[in-house]
Amino acid sequence: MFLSFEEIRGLATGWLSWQEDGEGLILSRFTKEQMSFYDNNPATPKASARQRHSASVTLDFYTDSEYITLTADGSRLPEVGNYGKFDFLENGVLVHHADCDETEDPETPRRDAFPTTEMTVSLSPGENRVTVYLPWGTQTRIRSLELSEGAAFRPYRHAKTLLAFGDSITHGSRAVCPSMTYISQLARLLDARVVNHGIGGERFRKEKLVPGTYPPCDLVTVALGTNDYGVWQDWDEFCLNMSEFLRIAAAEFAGIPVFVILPIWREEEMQPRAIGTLPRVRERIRQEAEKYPGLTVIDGLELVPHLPDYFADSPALHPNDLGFSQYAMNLYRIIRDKI
Amino acid sequence: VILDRKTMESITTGALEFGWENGGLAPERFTAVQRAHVHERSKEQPRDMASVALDFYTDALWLRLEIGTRRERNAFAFDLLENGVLKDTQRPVMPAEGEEPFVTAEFSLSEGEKRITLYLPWDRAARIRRVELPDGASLRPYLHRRSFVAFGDSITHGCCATHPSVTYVNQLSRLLDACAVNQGMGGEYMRADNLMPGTYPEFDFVTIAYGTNDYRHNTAAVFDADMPEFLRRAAAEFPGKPIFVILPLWRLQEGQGKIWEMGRTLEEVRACIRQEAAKYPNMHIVEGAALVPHLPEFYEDKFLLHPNDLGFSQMALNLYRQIAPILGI
Repeated sequence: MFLSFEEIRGLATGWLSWQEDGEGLILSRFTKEQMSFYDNNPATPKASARQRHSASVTLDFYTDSEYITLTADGSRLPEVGNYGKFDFLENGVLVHHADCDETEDPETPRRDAFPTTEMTVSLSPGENRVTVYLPWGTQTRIRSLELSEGAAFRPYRHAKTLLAFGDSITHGSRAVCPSMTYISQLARLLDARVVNHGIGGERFRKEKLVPGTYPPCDLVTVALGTNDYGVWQDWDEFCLNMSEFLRIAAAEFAGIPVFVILPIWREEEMQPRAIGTLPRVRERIRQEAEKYPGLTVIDGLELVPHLPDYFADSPALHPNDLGFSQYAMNLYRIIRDKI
Repeated sequence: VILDRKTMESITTGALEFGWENGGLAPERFTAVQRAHVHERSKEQPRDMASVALDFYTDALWLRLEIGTRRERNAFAFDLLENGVLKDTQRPVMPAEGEEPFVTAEFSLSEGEKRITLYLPWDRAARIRRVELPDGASLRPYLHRRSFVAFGDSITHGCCATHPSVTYVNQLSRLLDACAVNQGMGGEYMRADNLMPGTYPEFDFVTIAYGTNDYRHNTAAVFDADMPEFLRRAAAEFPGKPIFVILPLWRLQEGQGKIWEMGRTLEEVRACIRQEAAKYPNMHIVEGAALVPHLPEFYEDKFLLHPNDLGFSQMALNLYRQIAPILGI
């Protein structure tokens, strides 16, 4: 039995807007208004594309179906590579990983979409909670969702809602499994649905926080700074954008716990860039965040082991799945008593 | 300053007893009485340092360690954590034949006071011959909020973690702020004599994780006698304390329907343990099949039996999610 797109939307989490384009359903983690800053800026085509990725968008529901068949494709987006990997969890444990990238022509060095792919997973007898993580690294178009004929289904209701601002690390880059990004793992520990506003390459930009456009949430995380260190050419411009972003965040989310996660360890952090070293950037963010009683600073150096084994790239910058596990666990230990 | 024996003992966690051998402190995760009842196949394992750690606050800028150990294996590691995050791993090479069988490791530490947790190798017996800090450095033991004892097989022991800090017992320990005494031994069954009544201090909770070796190597007759007796002893030894009975993890061969001498599937073994544990009100069943993803990427071996570091992380997180509410966390 095929679910309607309306029924699929009812089972999905992590989206703020949606569209049907005649061929399928696209769930977006941003509203059109929130995307407008990058969409209207011709100098930022990558960010414009990346904000359309389905990071932390899930289908999360109970069903007594014998199987689930999801058919989807990765929409072709300019400028950025795409990573079409899906995870299927049954009762909270990963039981199937679908790598749609593997269906691409291996001769093509850089893929920019994955074709329509049908993924079927058998489920255990009785009612199960099924959680499908859509790819963090592509815009996903759901073409259909099929369950056994007559199967019951109802959405899973999370205890909390988490809104996460950040860069590529929050976005999920370079997790092999979308369920293993730190924000996905943190969400499972907190029993929270996630609205993921991480974008690869993101810095503190005052325009990227759009007051009045966010859903009610129980906690907010802000994890920016490592790209500020790498990209900003002017210290004052960085300070202005960072302080304004935090000021807006403190006002927008007054009364809600907001955790400002200072940049995690990276291998080249002592190498001076245009605005200095990463420790300098970290300290400046700390000083600014500590001005607001509603913001709680978390030392990013205490989240991911400072060893290359825990990172996906060299020099170490993006945690791998193991590093993300440690990130989630350590972050959870710090914040669980504060929410 | 070189720490004296009493100070070394005060900062060592995960031991039930301390001995002194070959000029070094010998933390023991099994008491002498318990070791006397270990099965012949497991004789070497109780002295491995699984979940034994030095855990303390200090303002020292460095730490030197000298450890006496067996010579036969080279792949072992020391993990140093600062404030709960892994900062350094050292894998010293054993000296050549004829030299003293000990290794040294030196760690640089951050400025200011911090909590240091130094995990010893899970797969090696060790004698702590020397712990040295700068003269005048502060030192005080870290005190956990709670404690637990973990019974189990190779997976509880730590096999095959590449970092001792990431075994599921050690990650669970950090998540729960609980001092762990690890009584895991590779290859073990749920054998009655793996729990010796009257030999344990008080713990806040207990974990029991056997069954996958029973399925593969034990006989039905021995299992049907030993498993209920082990659980009966556990219930009697730890009355009123939560006892988490972790059913066997998913493994590749169960999906292939393999049956060995016992004549039961792994799911049938799980059902036997589940049924027996249900007799005791303080025993809580943890569904092991829902702890580690059922995918090769999360296992160390081709049989998908032993989780790797990533699998252990998932096991600890999922285990925590199941048991924390029962512990009121």
